[in-house]
Amino acid sequence: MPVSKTIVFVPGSPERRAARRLSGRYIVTFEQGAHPQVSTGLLAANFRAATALAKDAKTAKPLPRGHFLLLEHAGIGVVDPLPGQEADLHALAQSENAIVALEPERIVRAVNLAISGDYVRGWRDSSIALAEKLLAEDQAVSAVAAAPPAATWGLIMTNVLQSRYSGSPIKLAVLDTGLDLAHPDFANRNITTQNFVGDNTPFHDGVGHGTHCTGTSAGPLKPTQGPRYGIAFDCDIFSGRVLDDTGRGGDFNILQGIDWAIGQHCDLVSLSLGAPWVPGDPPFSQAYEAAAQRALTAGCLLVVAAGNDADDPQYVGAVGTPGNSPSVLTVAAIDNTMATASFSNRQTPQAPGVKGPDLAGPGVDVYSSWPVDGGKYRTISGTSMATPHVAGIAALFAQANSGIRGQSLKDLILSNCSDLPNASFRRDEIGHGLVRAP
Amino acid sequence: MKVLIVVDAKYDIENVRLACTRLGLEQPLMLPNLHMLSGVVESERIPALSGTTGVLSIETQRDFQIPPPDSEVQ
Repeated sequence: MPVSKTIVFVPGSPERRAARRLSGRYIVTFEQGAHPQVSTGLLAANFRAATALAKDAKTAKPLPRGHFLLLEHAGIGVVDPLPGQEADLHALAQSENAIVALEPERIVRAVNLAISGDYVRGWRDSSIALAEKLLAEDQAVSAVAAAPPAATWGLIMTNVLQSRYSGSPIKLAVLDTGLDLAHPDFANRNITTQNFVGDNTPFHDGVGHGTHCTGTSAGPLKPTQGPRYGIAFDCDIFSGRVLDDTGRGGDFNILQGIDWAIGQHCDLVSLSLGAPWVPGDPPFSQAYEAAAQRALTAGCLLVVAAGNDADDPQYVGAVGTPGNSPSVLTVAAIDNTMATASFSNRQTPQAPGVKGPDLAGPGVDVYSSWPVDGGKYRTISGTSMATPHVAGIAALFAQANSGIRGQSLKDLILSNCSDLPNASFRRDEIGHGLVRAP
Repeated sequence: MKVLIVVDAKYDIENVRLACTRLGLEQPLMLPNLHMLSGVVESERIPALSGTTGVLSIETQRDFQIPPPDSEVQ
């Protein structure tokens, strides 16, 4: 019996489906051996079963609308709902215990080298580095294939491995749940901490989110184990605990953190937090926009997550607060196929006047540090994970350009984004494109 | 009701704080680098506070909540 299900809706508009390369059909995943009851459920919901082709068939036929085809041995099927059938399909997915997931079918294609040459070169270089290391240690060459990559996909795809910058001596603040100072990957770093949560505890990270985000933005060049996952490995870390051990914090905690970062002369503040936008809200908060503008004047750029509500039917999926402040650098999430993450908030006509993301960063299946008592490392997803990628890369830009801070640093980062496939169809999701290290 | 008050940079924040407390702002706290105040006030006093010299905007404070640590999306 599955403990949890993955159920994702196909967007209603053909333009959105095209931008996200979705066919409009669904892939249903079910427990092996359960195809009879899944089939029964689909037939009861007025879907019709398509007949599989004979093994020696010479031509293929398209799956008709309103039909399904189950692959019994794989535990996977494809369903193409007619208009009006989608609700019944989702109801069946919810109620049928044997169904593990219902997800949109993606249209995949070979990677276009002209668009992602950097990605391929990065992968090549990290594979060569790993091979040389293993050969020097007299390991079997076949171990290369089984060995873990030298760096996370996010660092490869954003050109970080090719960058000669370390983030020194940039001051980067992370305002979050804190940081596990006992983590071996942060030994010997310049770290300044401050606790803004009034819970009478010393500075720590009782959640993990803060340690994960700090790891992505500022983790080490050579972790004590596993692949490299951090970007500005030599920056000065300023960790402000603004969220408590339940992950909760109020406006004042966060603004205190921003105020502190400015007082410490930080160049960057990474904020992987937000409150969903709901109809009736203004397009942005006056307080956060004032804070962002005053930070820019002080040479400090706020990098903020767009938020993760786009998959949640109770929200419209617009960028939340404070990500929707015009004067911050707002970050969306993509996955390792360069598709926009389904949860990533975006500009939408249901939220007039609310800005869309300025750019995108790697935000799906992101590996980074985690508190030692929670396993030391973890892989999670979110615009929370994309944001520290941008903050870390912003630190590299700041190092490379000593006279450029605040608004001019924001402009420089945006003008150096790399284009993503179908970019012109999804500016509302990805803004200027994928962040790219100098 | 917890509020955030954006103070016009042209005005001394301490003077604005005093003016707001006279109009009912309690537990005032200052953010000196952001030139902002926070405090607690009864909602019916908010219009009067908005009209105070040096106050650019006033809004209610919100809470943020990130998903639990075992969530796939955070």
